[in-house]
Amino acid sequence: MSNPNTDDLKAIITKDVRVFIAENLTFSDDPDELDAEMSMLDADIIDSTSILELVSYLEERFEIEIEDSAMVPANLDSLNRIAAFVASRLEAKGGVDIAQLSKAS
Amino acid sequence: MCGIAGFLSDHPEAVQRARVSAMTATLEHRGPDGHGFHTEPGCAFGHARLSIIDLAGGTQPMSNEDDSVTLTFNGEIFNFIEIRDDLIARGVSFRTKSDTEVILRLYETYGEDCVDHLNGDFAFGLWDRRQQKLLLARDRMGVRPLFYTQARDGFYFASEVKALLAVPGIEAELDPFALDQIFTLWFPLAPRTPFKNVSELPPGHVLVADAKGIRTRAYWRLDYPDFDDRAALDLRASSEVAETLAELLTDATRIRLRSDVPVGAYLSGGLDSSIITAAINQIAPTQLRTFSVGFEDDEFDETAFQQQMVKALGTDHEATSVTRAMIGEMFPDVVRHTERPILRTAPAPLYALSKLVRSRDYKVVLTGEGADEVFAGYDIFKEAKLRRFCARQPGSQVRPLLFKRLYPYLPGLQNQSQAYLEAFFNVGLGSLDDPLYSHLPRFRTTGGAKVFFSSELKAELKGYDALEELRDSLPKEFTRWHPLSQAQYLEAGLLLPGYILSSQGDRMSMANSVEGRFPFLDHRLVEFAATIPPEQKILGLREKHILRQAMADLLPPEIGNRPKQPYRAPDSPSFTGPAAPAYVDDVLSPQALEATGHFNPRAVGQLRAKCATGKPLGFRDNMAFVGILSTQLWSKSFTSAGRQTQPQEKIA
Repeated sequence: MSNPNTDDLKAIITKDVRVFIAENLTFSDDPDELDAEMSMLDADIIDSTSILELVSYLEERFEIEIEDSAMVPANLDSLNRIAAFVASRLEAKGGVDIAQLSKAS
Repeated sequence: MCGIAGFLSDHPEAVQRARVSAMTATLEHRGPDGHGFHTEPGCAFGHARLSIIDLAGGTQPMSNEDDSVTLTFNGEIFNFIEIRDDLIARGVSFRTKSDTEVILRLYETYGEDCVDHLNGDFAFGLWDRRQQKLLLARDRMGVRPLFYTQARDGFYFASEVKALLAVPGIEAELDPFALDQIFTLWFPLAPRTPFKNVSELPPGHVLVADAKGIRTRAYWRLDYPDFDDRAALDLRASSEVAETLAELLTDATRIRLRSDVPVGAYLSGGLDSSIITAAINQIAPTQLRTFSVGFEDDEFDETAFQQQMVKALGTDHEATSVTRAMIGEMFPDVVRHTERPILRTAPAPLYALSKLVRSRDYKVVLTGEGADEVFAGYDIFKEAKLRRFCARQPGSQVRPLLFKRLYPYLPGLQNQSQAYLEAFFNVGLGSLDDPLYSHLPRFRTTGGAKVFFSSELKAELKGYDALEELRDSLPKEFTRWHPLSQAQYLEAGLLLPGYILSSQGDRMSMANSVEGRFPFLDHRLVEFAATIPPEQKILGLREKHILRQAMADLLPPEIGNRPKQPYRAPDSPSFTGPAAPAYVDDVLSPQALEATGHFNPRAVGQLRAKCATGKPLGFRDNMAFVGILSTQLWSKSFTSAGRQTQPQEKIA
């Protein structure tokens, strides 16, 4: 098992999260239209319910735990922040099987 | 209480009679006890009657002796006895004991200013033959509805839009700006209605139509003192303020018990209806019939509190238990009666409740409606206060946590971090000077539901901002009021008539021929409450403080101290799952959505898929679901495009 390049990992995470957001939060048919730097609070994509939906999706999909203190906009308010945060959690867990992760999506 | 209709248009007498009769027939539910018509060259009035006062003498339309003034009137004038005595003292003579004749005589005496003398819930049309002038008027708080339209062949008015649609040539079409307003504010901004070319006479307004044209003017406005004008406030000791409040509320209740048929009450178990029930009990200590809604879902049910009050007051109580399946089943009828898209199912249980009342042969109920607006009971008032409190110390680790205390009944909120709480409640965002500051989080969440609008609708609405229109429509003195008064105006002046009194009020009770009366909305009490210092309405985070103080002696302490429980009903879960009503698939099918053209079928499909997972939906998604469904049902009921979506006749 190899430890994948962080950028590859982020790319996979971003791709999956885009689809989740399009299907569940923005109801868009184009997952790629979401600007990866945009604040999802400012864009009214994240509210008190959808933040919980997003967190439980991330926990289930990537098998990580997000404790209350990590549930902050600095970690979750844009696609890029989510990708960086989830990637760091996966790396902290040790190795990630990138092939496995890609397949599961 | 009744339904009214009429028009100014010249047709042969037989055509006028047929037309006004067809209009009135659509209002049968408002007035099943008899119909009456008046026609003359150029003018026709209709009336569907629910007999409550002067059962024999109060038939309508009513004309004076020489037929120079004719009236068709919906509602009640609660101070008709005092007005009548006053006019008799001035030498006016009366033929009947009805409140209808009081309006007629007042008009003969004071002309258009007759409305200033009325304390009541009313909508009427009055024809002055000599001046060839039509006067329409509506009560101050907007309890009774009144709609009008200028058609090709004349001017038409009625209690409900369905009567206007009975006129050949008047067709229903959705006003996209009204839909945008509903999907932002929860209500269309009067005079706009969801029907293109149909207007609503705003509360506290009169309309005059004559040879010079059509003009409307406000004869009364909800007003508050300037923020820095302490002298305009009632600064007496709170015990004295409370005493005046109790006196006014008792009198408002007393005159609302005037009726020639028995009067019952709604008893939800909350503070407001308990106060009204207790006040009635004190004024007329005969056994009172009370009615309430219970829910199969524990989350919404207040039965335990209702039982406490029933025990304390010894009323003869009956409840109707409402299930999700019932809400789903009733909803198309509910929308046919609200005549507007709605974002919540909350009207449906009230429809079931008025049905229960009617089945027990009661036509009149008093309720606690209006207390939350007039005495600041809603959470949104406390929320706005907290947001300002947080904004004074941005980044505070502790202050935003108070939002969790504010909404103990919202499980989703309990797990949020301080940073997200701040963000959700827009603590750092927007200007504290924005006139809509108190309501921005709500409007923002609601507005999110517009993501489901079709691209055609979005294109049509491009550049339109409902919040801008709302800001522009506010009275010029609005910005000088205390922040609580500003928030109260948005509720009492706009949401109350635009949604609460119409979709949850008049329309749901009159659908079953039941008249609601609301002591808290007596204008004397409303005007007095505006002078009560804001800190006596919300003391710390205790809402309706002064009202609790005023009525403490009448209530068991558990009720008197009970925190506000918002009235809610199950929303999207009423339409999903195995017991979902069959019409949902019909009106939300891609074909049906394409036929009406208001929503994006693919996005609605995704929302339905999300609902089907059974996970609880957030506010926005719930409002979107109910809003889309009700808009589709509205189209199906009223428009030709919507009717095309009806499925093929099923073969039995």
